[in-house]
Amino acid sequence: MVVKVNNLVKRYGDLIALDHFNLEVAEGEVFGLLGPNGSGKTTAINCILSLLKYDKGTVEVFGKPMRPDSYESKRHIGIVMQNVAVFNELTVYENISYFCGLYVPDKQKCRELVEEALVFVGLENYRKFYPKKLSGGLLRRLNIACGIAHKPKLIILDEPTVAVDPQSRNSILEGILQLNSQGATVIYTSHYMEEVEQICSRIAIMDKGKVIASGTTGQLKAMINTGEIITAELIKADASILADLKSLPYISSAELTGNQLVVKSGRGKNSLAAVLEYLNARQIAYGNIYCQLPTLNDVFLEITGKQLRD
Amino acid sequence: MFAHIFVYRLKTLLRDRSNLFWTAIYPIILAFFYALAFTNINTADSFEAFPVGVVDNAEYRSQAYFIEALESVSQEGDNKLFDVTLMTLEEATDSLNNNKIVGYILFDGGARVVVKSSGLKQTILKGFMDSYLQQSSAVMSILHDNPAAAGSLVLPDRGDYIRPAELAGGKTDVTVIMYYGLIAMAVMFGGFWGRREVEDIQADLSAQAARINLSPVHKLKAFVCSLCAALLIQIVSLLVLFLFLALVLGVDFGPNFGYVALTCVVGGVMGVTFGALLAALIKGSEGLRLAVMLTVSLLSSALAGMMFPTIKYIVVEAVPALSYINPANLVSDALFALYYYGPGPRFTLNLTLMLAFSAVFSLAVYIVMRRQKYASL
Repeated sequence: MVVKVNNLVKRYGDLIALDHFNLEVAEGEVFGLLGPNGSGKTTAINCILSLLKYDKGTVEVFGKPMRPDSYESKRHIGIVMQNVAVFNELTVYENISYFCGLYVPDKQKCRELVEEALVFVGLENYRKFYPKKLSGGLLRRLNIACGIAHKPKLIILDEPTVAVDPQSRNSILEGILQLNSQGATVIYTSHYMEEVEQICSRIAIMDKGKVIASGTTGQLKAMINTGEIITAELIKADASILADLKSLPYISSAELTGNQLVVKSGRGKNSLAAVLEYLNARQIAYGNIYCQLPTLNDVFLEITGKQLRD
Repeated sequence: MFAHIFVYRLKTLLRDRSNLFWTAIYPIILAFFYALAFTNINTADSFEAFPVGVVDNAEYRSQAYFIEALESVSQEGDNKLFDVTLMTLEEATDSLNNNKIVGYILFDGGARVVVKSSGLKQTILKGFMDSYLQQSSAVMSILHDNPAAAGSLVLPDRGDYIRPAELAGGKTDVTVIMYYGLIAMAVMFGGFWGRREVEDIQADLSAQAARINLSPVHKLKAFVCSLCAALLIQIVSLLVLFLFLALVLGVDFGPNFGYVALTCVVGGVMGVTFGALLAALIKGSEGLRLAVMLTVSLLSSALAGMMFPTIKYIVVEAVPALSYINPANLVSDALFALYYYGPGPRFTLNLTLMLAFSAVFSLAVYIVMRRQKYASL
């Protein structure tokens, strides 16, 4: 295991930020930590990196206990923080070079790595720019370059796409997959389920400092009862149909909000066909109808009873 | 690794316009305005010998001691008080009426001073005459009681009544205290560099610091490298300020330039470590740290005489201990001691205290920063 966390407990006074938190990340994985704001993702990362004191538990990185003076382990870790951590007085090139130089004493090697990082994040034309002159997306890319320039074996990205435009976000996500394909193990924290679903091979869902579920996307979705969600825009709302719909095979719930009908089916097949057949038979007019497979938000919703972005 | 961190920190700090302004530019601007203001003060205070008449009659010519005393304050040189002209009583009266002389001295059954109006010059003339008469009266009284003491009596130099004794460094000028207070303020403003260094190394104070804490470099090693860059900038800034004051504005530092430079170097260390300590201890926002630092710097500089030289004396009189624990006062007093007394015990005491404070501040910063894990970020 590249990272192994066992029964980690972290308290801030009476507040329990991490409650017997467990985690195992294998070499070569892109591991996602998914959870709403305040669920303990960043605290968990800071404890893993031995930046924060914790009350109980153990952390191992590269098979060795992680401590503040674990310099050999730190040499192979790259961190991309939630807050952009660069110096405004240094140019793009100088920022990357400064942080890379802390890991790579050889100046020539450092220069080569900085050039590679610039190309990797697409900032080669901005090397002499100061951070204040960069857009939010470019700034995030610089933040990533500072974290990965020394080619670490383990890269931890803590919500690297917060406040980033869609184009830069896609670029960042593609970059992460590229780093992984080059051999890096990645831990990626986010509260954007789409991102986590898109790039992570394994996911742990966190809430209130605990891992409430973990596995691959398929495994997580298989944990819940919802099979598919059918949404129909009715021309005229009629609440009397709800009881009939609930009596159909595999349908677990039917709700009407205004003119919008939402029907959830359990694990079965062709629920959409059954709903359509019912609506047509009752001559209930509808404008638009579509079917969705469950998302990680549905997983979170079913386990915790609240939305992921609450 | 030292060179890598040191060079990048130098670049970072030299581009920190805000800190650079307050530590290097602002004191020079303030010194310039001081110079504008004090030039007038010095002109107003400068003393020039003024014309005095002496009625030349037989009684005057019989006053050998008085003539000797009058010559001592009317010869060319630093002690010159009067431009003396011997004249008749009519000429003296006429000159006084036409404002050609400030007053005249007349021996007519005793000595007296005749002036037309009151003022500083008239007071000086009268003061000179009074002090002569007191001394001569004392001498006559002693000779009357003990004629044998005549050989051991020496009439004092009249100039001593008016001017203080010459001191070791140079001329008496209270405005230098304000300039020394200004240097003390610049020393205290060095705390901004110390604050910056702590904020860039304490992971609970900035994201950049957290990134450095996660690198495979010992935190204190990185801090020392960075602090060296800050110290270099601060010491150079202080030396530039000193040279600007001495060479451009002509502020008198006495003959001990080397010791003044040494004071700047030690002061630089003390100021930066002082700021580092404040930043390490204050856990509030950046604005709070800045506000506390500014308040402490300005208050301590004011108490060291930067804005009003008399405060320095009031503090020494009322709360002597404060003058020894106020870092800004140690700097200004070290420069003051150098100017007046040279590199003697008073200067040595100030410099020793500055070194001691630097050591205490550094030790305290080390104790606060040595922990490598944080309770919260």
